[in-house]
Amino acid sequence: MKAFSYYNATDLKDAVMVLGNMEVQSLPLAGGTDILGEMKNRYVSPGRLVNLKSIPGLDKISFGREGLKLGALVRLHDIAMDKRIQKDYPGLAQAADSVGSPQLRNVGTLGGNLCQRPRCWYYRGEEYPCIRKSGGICYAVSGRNKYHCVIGGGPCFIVHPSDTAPMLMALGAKVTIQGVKGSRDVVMDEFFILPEEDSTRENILLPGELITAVTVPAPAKGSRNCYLKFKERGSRDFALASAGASLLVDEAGTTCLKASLVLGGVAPAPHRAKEAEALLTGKKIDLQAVEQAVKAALADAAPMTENEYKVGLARTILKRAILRAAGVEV
Amino acid sequence: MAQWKPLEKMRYVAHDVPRTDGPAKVTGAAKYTADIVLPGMLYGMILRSPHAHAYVKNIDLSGAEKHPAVKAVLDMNKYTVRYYGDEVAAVAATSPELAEEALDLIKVQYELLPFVVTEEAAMAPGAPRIAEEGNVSWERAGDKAKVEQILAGSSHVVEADIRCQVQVHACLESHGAVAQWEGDKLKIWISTQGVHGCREDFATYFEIDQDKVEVICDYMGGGFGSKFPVGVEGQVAARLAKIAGLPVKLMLSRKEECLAVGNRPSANMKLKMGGDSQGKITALWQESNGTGGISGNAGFPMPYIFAVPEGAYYKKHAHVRINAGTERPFRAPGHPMSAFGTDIIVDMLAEKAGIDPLRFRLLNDPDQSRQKQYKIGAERIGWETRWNKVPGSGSTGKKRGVGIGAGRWGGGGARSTKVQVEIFPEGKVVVSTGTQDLGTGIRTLVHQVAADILGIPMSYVTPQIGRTIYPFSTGSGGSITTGSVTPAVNNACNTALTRLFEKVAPALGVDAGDLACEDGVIYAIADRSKSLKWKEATALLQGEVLNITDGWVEGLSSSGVAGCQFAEVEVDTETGRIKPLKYVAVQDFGLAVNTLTSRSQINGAIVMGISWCLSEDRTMDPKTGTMVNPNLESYKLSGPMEIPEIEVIIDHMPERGVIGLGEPPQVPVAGALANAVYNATGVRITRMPMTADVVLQALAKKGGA
Ligand SMILES: Cc1cc2nc3c(=O)[nH]c(=O)nc-3n(C[C@H](O)[C@H](O)[C@H](O)COP(=O)(O)OP(=O)(O)OC[C@H]3O[C@@H](n4cnc5c(N)ncnc54)[C@H](O)[C@@H]3O)c2cc1C
Ligand code: SF4
Repeated sequence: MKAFSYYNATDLKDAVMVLGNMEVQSLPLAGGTDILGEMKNRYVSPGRLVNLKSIPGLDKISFGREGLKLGALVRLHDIAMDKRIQKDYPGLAQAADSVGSPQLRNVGTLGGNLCQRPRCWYYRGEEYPCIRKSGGICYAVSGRNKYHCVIGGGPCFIVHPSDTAPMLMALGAKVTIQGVKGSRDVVMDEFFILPEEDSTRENILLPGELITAVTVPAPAKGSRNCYLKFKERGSRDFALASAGASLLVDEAGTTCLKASLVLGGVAPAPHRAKEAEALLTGKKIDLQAVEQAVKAALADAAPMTENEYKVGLARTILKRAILRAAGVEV
Repeated sequence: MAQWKPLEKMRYVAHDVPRTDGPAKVTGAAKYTADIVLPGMLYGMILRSPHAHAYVKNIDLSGAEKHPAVKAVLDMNKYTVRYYGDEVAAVAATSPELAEEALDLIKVQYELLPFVVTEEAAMAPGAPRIAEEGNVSWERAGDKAKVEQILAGSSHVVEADIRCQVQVHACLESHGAVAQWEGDKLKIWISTQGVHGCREDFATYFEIDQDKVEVICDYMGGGFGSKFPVGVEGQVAARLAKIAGLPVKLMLSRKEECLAVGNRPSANMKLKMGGDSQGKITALWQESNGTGGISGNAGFPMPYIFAVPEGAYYKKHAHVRINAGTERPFRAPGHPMSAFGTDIIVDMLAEKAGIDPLRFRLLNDPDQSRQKQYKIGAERIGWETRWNKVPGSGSTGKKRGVGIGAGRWGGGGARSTKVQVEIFPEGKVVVSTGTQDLGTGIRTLVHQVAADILGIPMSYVTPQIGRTIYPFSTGSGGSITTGSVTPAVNNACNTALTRLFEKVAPALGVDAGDLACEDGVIYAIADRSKSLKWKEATALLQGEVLNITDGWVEGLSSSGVAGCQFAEVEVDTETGRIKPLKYVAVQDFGLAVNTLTSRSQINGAIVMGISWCLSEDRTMDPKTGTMVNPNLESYKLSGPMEIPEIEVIIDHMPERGVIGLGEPPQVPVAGALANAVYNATGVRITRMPMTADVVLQALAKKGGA
């Protein structure tokens, strides 16, 4: 790890001011579970870390008319364990609970989870000056790419590693962003970007901007949700494929009125399975209908040399997430 | 020949005895090498090659030398670096961060050379030659034509394409040392499997006498075979300390652990096996290769476990060099690969011959112990009801199946071990020997054996190990630690006890030869009323410390163990997830000195075997010549979720003496698992690691399940 200075931000304004000061390259620090690894591997070496944990009030969970509001510094453990979240947004509690290990969830924050950097093993090594590090090539294309994306890639082929992001996107959440000039709200669907737009960052945040909160709409009557994650290793691991399913069902609880389905682990950003959403909407939710719907997901997938398996796997996980959300036993 | 005291007279031996050092370890009182901090201590760090193969054209150390925090700089004088991670230079500085900063200031000019990082590439026609000796050395046995003829005449022939990947040791404590010179004397704390071996290594390396070197390893966090030699890292620590005139700590990072301090070689084998109409094995045909990195050494013993008739075995094996870190011994070197290949091909032949694999083994396995063990294990796993007569015929979706694997190992004891016993007048006994506890529990075994042989409570005894100031003991490899150390403890304690009896006999008015000690009371065998409590007896030493050193004796240990394991798995055929549900391990190892630490060894071996079979994968990138996952995030060790219910059955044979157990239970794990997966799914998976993608591909090839 290279030498850096450390700054405890006093409030949000202070934080964005310091982060926006371009004389020293500064990065925000939340739980540090991701950024410390990056710095230890020496391909990220900020001149200054700006500690957000010193800002009061960013770690609150609250419920209001707008829905659920989560401060950026809320720890994943707190999301996973919150009784009301477990009841109203079981998928969100499941997503938070699926991250890493208990130790990581005790320290890792929601803001950090959404802004964490990719796990591509070339990105993570200082020896590989790849496109995401503003270098010239993507090592994964002709190298080892079993964990890479099957859709949405090019010129970089990462998968977005966050577990909370697909679920929050499926739930229609929005993020509140604070910059020097003020704050704005952006829906999740517009927060993440694909490499074709910019392959050196994973979201729309400009240098110096912060996530301050995430708001999840209040659950409508008949809403059901579930997050399912498939890990190569049952113990701590990132998703090979995951699915956040948020459904609106009729009074009988059998017909799908609206489906919001987002896949993780398959694309450089959480991937909305639009085709599957369309096919499921208006259908009676049973095994056959769901199988039909998920077959349409990832129809445009373009697997790399070592990751074709992900397409079928992601469909299976999506199928199971939908069935579980709907409470259909198979 | 010496004999063990009858088991019924022992309070600790052959019982569950918790670890003597357990509390020290869990409270942090136990100091490992990495915990050592000395006044003025520097931090050493090694600069490693970022290239798989290159000439070192020029190396400029001046930047590092000028760094104010740097106290020593070392050029490894390499003309050629031969793998990603090969050592090039080293520094010692006042903090780890400053050492790292200094490494950045060393400028190395490389001339890149062509490299190969896979067996296929190394063996391909026109492959770049990466070593003077060539990329491949061949090992041959038997007559191919003759074996093929036998196969052609056999009633049943099966073929399998088996792949075992390279496994890195992944010791939780990394390699490293803290070195301190006092004049020409070296004192070094090092994480090692052989304190005395290290002493000799350092003495040779620095051309000093062995008595000038003191090696200390009070506690260590695993070695698995990778920590015998002092290694480049140990030498560098000592050299830097010498140059700087200050102590130097050099502990490797996880990345360095993955790249440069050993691994289990790969084994890729094409096997053919024939059987006659009665189900007897007729022949074994093997063409194989494996890589042990840049040293190439990658052997495994075949035929394994099963009897193959004389002259009916053919082998052509390639030891392949690639540009990767060199192999080192790894828990039962060779055997897990032999077992994996053998367990699978035998399972296939059994099926082809229409014989239940359990019966097939009983028919073909010549080992009497395993004959018995197979039956015990089959009973415990519920073979009759749980084995699918038609593989893959279980329920749909998540499918269950069971499988068998088998193994053998040597173990035994080394005569050279010596033990010192000191009996103090106040009753305390200190037992010292220069062995080392890799985590297997030998400190506890020394403790309990001493107490039982002396006939006193363990609380009277303090075991001391892990230092060269204690009497000589061998390195811990080949599962010989227990077989070397406990007979010597037994003998030294007996000798000490005899001496003590001589001292106290006059006070009791009997002959020393008529005394015995039990539960802390020394008494006349013929007349129990003539007795002294231990502490009353030792008080008669009158200020003298009874001090005895004695060595290993014949008769208390032997070698050669057998074992088999039964695995039950569940396979999710939609996701490719293999979940081990249950293992039954039946293992003999003679006298089980401590049944608790024995079970612990077997549990650990099963977890390690599952980890190898299901998820560990040293992923080499043929384009860059690098290992892309030198970390414990994507080099995936099993965690709690992968660990099944484990039932350990100790096939106790105390009459054989102690043998040693560290390695053997690692051997049958993967084969049993592979066979269980086949029994569950009806699809043969013969390559490791059996990750979801591999399983899904195999299932898809068979048209799904
Ligand atoms: C071994 C291991 C396993 C892991 N497994 C998983 C997993 O299974 N699933 C998963 O989703 N993640 C996983 N992670 C990643 C990570 O630990 C978590 O995502 C965690 O939530 C990150 O939060 P943090 O607060 O520690 O982030 P930090 O490390 O503090 O920050 C992460 C990044 O976000 C930036 N940042 C932090 N807060 C903000 C903010 N409010 N606004 C803007 N930028 C911000 C930082 O500058 C940094 O670039 C794993 C990490 C490790 C080391
Ligand atoms: S996938 Fe992206 S991060 Fe990985 S090597 Fe390619 S460009 Fe770099």
